[in-house]
Amino acid sequence: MKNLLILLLLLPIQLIAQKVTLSGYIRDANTGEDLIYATVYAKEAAVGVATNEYGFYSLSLDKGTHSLQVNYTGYSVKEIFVDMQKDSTLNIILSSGDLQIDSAVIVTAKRSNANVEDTKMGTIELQMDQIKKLPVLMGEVDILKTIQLLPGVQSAGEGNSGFFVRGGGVDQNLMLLDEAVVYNAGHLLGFFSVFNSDAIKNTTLIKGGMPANYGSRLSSVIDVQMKDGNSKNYTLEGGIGAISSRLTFQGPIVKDRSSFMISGRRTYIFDIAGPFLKNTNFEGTNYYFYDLNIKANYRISQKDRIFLSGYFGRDVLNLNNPKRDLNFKLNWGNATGTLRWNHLFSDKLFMNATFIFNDYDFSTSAIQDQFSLKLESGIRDWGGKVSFSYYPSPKHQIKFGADYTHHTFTPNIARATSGNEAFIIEPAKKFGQENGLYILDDWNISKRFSMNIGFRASMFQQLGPYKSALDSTEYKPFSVVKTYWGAEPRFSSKFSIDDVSSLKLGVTFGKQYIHLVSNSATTLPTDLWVPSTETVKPQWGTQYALGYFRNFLNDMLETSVEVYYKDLYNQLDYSESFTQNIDTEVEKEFVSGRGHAYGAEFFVRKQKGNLSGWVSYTLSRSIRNFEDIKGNIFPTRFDRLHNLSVVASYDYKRWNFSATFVYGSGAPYTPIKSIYLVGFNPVTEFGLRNSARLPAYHRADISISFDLNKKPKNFESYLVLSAYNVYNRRNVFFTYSMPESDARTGAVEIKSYKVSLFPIIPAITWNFKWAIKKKEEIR
Amino acid sequence: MKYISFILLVLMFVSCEEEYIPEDVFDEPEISVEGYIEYGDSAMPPYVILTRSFPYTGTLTPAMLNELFIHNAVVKVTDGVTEVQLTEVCLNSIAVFDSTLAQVIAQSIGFGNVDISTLNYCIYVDIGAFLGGSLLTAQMGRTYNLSIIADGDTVTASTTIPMHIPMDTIFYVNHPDFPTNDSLVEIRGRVTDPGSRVDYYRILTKRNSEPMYPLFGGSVTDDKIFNGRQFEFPIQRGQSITNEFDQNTFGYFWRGDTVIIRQANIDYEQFRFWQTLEYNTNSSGPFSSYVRIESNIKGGLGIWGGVSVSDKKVIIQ
Repeated sequence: MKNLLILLLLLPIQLIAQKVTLSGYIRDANTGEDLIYATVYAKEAAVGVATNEYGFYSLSLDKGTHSLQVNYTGYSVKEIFVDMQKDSTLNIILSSGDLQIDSAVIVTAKRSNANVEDTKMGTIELQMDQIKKLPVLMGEVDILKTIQLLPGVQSAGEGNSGFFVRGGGVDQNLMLLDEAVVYNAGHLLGFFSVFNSDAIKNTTLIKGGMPANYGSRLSSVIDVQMKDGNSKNYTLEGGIGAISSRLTFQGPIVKDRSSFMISGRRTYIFDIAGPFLKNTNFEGTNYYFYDLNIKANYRISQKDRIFLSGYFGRDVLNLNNPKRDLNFKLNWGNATGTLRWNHLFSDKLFMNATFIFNDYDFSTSAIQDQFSLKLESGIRDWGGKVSFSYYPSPKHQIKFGADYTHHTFTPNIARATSGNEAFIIEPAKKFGQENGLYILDDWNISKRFSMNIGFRASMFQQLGPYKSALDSTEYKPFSVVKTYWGAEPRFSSKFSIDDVSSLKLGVTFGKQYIHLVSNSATTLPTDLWVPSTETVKPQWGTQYALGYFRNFLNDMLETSVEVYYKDLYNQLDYSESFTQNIDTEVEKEFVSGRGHAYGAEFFVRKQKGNLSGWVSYTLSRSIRNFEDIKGNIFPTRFDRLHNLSVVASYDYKRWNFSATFVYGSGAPYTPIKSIYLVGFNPVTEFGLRNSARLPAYHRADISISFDLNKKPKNFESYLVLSAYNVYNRRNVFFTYSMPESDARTGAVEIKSYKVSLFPIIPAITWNFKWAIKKKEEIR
Repeated sequence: MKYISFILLVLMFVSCEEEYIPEDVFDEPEISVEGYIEYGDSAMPPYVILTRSFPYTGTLTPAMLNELFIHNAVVKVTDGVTEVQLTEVCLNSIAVFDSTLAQVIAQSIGFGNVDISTLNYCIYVDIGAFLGGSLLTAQMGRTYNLSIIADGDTVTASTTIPMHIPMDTIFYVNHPDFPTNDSLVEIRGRVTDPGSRVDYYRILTKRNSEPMYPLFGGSVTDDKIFNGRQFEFPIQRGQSITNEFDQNTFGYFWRGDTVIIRQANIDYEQFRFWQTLEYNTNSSGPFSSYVRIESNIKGGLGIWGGVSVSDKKVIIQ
């Protein structure tokens, strides 16, 4: 079947025989890293193509000479002349670092208007160089916090790395690290993300017009790629920060053929605090988190390459109170592993096959004297993907493929002991498998009109062993309990008005088969992923988006306006009286309903020159309608009418000055409606869900970085000074109320307090990079 | 969950809080019911306290409390065969005849040591029980319906008195830090749960002359973890929610204390009422959501609870 498909797709090659194909990889000159989504543009033929996720491009051209322009944000534009007489391979090397492109090149660099020319909508790529300059909380560079500064992305709260995209739930973001799903991307209750900036090459956010090769989530894709490892030199880089330190070592295994990267990060604030806790109630208490990223790749031949990558990260809390003989532990983390094989069937057909494993687990234990309680939960997946990129002609870029994932869901398993007696609650694990089959074509119909049209067929099956909650049927291992499937058409199109402006339209239909409902502002390590079952239906939704894109000043300024409307079905939430107990089967506590979200996003970005940055403003609403929630219609907790971000970064000699400003309407909360008495104590009755608002949120952060080297050397280092919340705004993090009694008069007053979390927080970080071998001349 | 918030407290030492006046979304007062029908040695006759809900901004003084009581309501309890109407009794009027009795009643229904002479706290009670025998008897396994007509509004509720499972024993052990700490002790209880059904437990503690308080950190549990087995567990001393929390002494008792441990069995609806109520008062952080209290009162707020109850006393030496 697969062979037949390949054969069918190869047929058009025969029909365009006069054409010859130029293909190859685009790589970084210093590190040999593949550059993702770099563009090659043949000026005379006026055709172009972007590299895929592995840096591969393929371009069909007429026989003869062509001048090619190769472009990648943050890199010098390269012009190459080729005389094409037969199919050829050309690997292109681009140099980074020199952002000041000479003016002659800027004039001819037509392909730098990719945002206008591309059919992609709601897609933003972020490179680490950009991200690393921005001011951050406690000096910890965090891609997820940078993403929150983009239009349509709503932060989960003060200092938090969690986010919501275009009014969708927290479980509707597909977070991929080298193609493996990361189920819980937060450390320390979400204040830091699991993505160690030193180990990351590229991040892409897709919030609308999701191409058909992505599935299983409704709102967004955050596709993060780890560095492959420097294939030319050994480098050691790292940093010492206020709360954590980082170290990354990378280099060639066999030069230009294989390389590796190993990167680690760990916090240590409690290790330092440890001695001060001696003889206190908290002696022996510790908390830390760490991340370890490893990757290796091997180029077997011109046509074959394999990649092995892994991520391991954990949060560990050990809360000790020797005076009460109490020990409490929390331990959670993700592990992912990916094995990939890139193969070139021809210069027009690229294949990637991936085997994926990922695991998220959480455990907690509390021990006091002879009593103990231990809880475990998690989700574990394994699966595979095969994807093909096919370039039959400059007009078509076809992708097709299939994916399979097997899920194991571990609900809360509780083990309690009282002396020698053990008490165990072991709810059954749940199993499921998810399949996807897709094809999409990025089709340049004419110079002005192009579209990306795709189709994804998806299927989810709940598998045994399982005992039906409805009719008590017992299912054997791997037998099918319930099957759901979906036909998911995807469409986006672009109409060029002129060279610098275009209109885009997109419609995306999606299904989501696994769910996480959180009662907090963001996901917690305790939150459980659950599958669609005979009682929990898949979520589904449609997004319509329309955008106007225009560039100014020779593509110096990119601007866009996008409006969207989303319909969401089978949305899940907890019932209003949900209480999380060790033995709760969360599915039984779900209520479901409809949702809709709409908004307008305004974006102005400047990527070139000494001054870069962007302004993003979003006007939006996110509403749910649930029969089982009092009042029925309510705004989501991440509903904000106004959301503004301003990001600016200025390079001056060895200095960089960066600043961000954010403003958002107040977050909704559920107010107390009244008080009544039970047992002579005041008890609160709540009003309608999310019917009141906190004050507006705003904050400015600044950072200054200084390059400590006058000239490029083998050892380079720089200092970053940053201040979070520079004007010390008391943003409300949460509110609470509590009764206070006056012993003298017997009067009781319910007092309300608002708590703000971070005042101005300065931080200093020292970063270094040591090229262990002498820098070689760039070819 | 509480521990999760605790991590934050430990780590976010930089946070700051200030008092504020929240949005007032109060519309109109609702009828709040707190009534019980109890079975057991220390059982009270059926009684109901009727008050109105009030806005949560401002101060509630004892004098204002007088205004919350609902007077002249028609309160009836029936087991399907026998119906009794409860009589409104105000403590200050009882006190005129028998101040000791008034004080005992005040204590029993949780009013504690308030000065009843100045306050007009009123309850609806099956007066027949005080006058030498009620027509309505509280029995385990039986369902009791409550109906109230107050100021033109009708409120109804239904509850069942479940079978009682008395504790096997209660005893106390030294503080974990003994002998450094020799003044505090931990009380433990042991219960043998029958395996044939789901049982719901509620435990309250009374220390010396203090009022009876629900167990610290959650007073109710089901038997999922120990169904059909003997189970030993620590009994954390209950305390007033308005008292200062002392992290060194909370949960423990002192040597010399006379302690009464009340073990009550309740039905599922009442279990959910207390469970959601205790979550409601506990959840106040960013990592938890509001919890709407599940009530079995139709047309109002609160609880109509059937209880089978037994008390055990321990004198700590």
